[in-house]
Amino acid sequence: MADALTIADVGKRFAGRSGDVDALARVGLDVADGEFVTLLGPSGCGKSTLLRIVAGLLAPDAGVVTVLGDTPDAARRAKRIALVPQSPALLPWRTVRSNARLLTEVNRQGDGRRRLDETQIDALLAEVGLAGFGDAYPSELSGGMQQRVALVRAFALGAPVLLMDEPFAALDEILRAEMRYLLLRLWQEHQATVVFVTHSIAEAVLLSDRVVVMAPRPGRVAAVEQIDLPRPRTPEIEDTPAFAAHVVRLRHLLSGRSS
Amino acid sequence: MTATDARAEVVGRRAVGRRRHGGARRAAAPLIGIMVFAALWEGLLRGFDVKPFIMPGPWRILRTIGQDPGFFWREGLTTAREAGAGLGIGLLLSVVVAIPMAGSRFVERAVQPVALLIQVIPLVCYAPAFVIWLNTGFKPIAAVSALVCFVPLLYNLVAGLRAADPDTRDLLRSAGASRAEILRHVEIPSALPHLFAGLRTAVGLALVGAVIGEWFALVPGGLGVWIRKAQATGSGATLVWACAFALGAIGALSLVALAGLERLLLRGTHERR
Repeated sequence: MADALTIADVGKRFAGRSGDVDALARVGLDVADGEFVTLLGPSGCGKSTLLRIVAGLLAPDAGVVTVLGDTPDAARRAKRIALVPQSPALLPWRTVRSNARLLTEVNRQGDGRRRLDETQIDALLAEVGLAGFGDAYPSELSGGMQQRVALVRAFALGAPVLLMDEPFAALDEILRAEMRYLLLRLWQEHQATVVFVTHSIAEAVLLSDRVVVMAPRPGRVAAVEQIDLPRPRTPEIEDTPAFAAHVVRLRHLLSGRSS
Repeated sequence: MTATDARAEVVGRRAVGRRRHGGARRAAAPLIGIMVFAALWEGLLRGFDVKPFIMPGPWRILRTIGQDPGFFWREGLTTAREAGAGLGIGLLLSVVVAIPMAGSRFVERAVQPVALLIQVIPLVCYAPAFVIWLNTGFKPIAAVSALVCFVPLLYNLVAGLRAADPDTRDLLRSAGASRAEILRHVEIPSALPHLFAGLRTAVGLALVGAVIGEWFALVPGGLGVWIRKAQATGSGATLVWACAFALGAIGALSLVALAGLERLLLRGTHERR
């Protein structure tokens, strides 16, 4: 299968108070079309920076990134990237329905063929359990509900590439578990290449085809773990020895001990 | 989470928002404050036997206004028109300058010293200059008023445009939204609460600008003009204070109208959780 994303020799340096910080150094990674890849690592390993570079929001100091054969900037303008930021980033003065449509309303020239129309967006809202909340304002929703609106808003673009920056980090563990399966369901229905940033090992194993372990100072790829668990992933998978083995191996990789 | 659970949670949140402390007491508090202040004022004047031509009491001032309300209405309207025009021009100017300033640190740094100078130069210095440039009459008065409103409105607008949530801005950029679209959907709505804070300050300043403008612009009427004239006459103190009360009424009414407009525009949906 063709690569949806190629990341070659990417470096990024930030000016800090105590000298420059290498946020990323010689990072290389290819993501196949339709693959679900997770960037796993401690805070400060540059995983969010890498995601922002792929999203075309930040220019790298070194290296080349392509998104569907184009520059990230061109992919962004052609609306081929859907971003789910860390916070739900809902506009408080727009209703749930209007927030879900927000990205389809801007940059109309960039609209993709797979963009959802208003009826489809409403249906998607209903699918994630928000039927009847279309006219509610974000301040009336719980954190989990807000994050589900953010998911719908991303899928509404029909973009082939989905970039997610620790979208469930602010939720409690029970909600997080629910959101993971919801995301997997939506991903299976809508077919997208996903890069998902997290610092939860279990989340990475459950969601991914491949887990990219990153290490800090300088931010780099430390290891890549292939996850061969069958799909669709179910809660039962989390109890299997194979799942546990992946978790243990990733924990060792993260702590710098090879297994 | 089932839909019923979610709904229960929403209802719970609304109930918390509805909790209020005694509505009637809250409404009465400002009235009581004004009444106590007026009584103290009146009482002190009588206690120390202060003559009205030095300092009239609030009751006497209100009676003076009541004797010829048409006069205060007419002169007040003149001053209000000048201040209103000043506020409008100041607002327009600040929006035009604030948008590029909020977009670029360089522009912000470049404009800052000029804005600072405009602010620290005493207001009264502008009035004669504007009369020289714009001739006497309405125009220089509105111009002075606009200039005093401009800087606080500018600072508030820049802060407001900058206050937009960075995640939301990234989100729109990631979908290829243009600078204008980000302004329209994110930055301008985010700036509205700041803009209203700036307008509340600017209302008072616009009136100061109008009054001072009237002193220099050789106009026949306006509350500022009558304050000047009253100073020259023997029983002037009461007229000075009556004009001050009229100015206070204009300012207070403007603030009430502003608060109403703010509630209408923001409709309680701006508060974040």
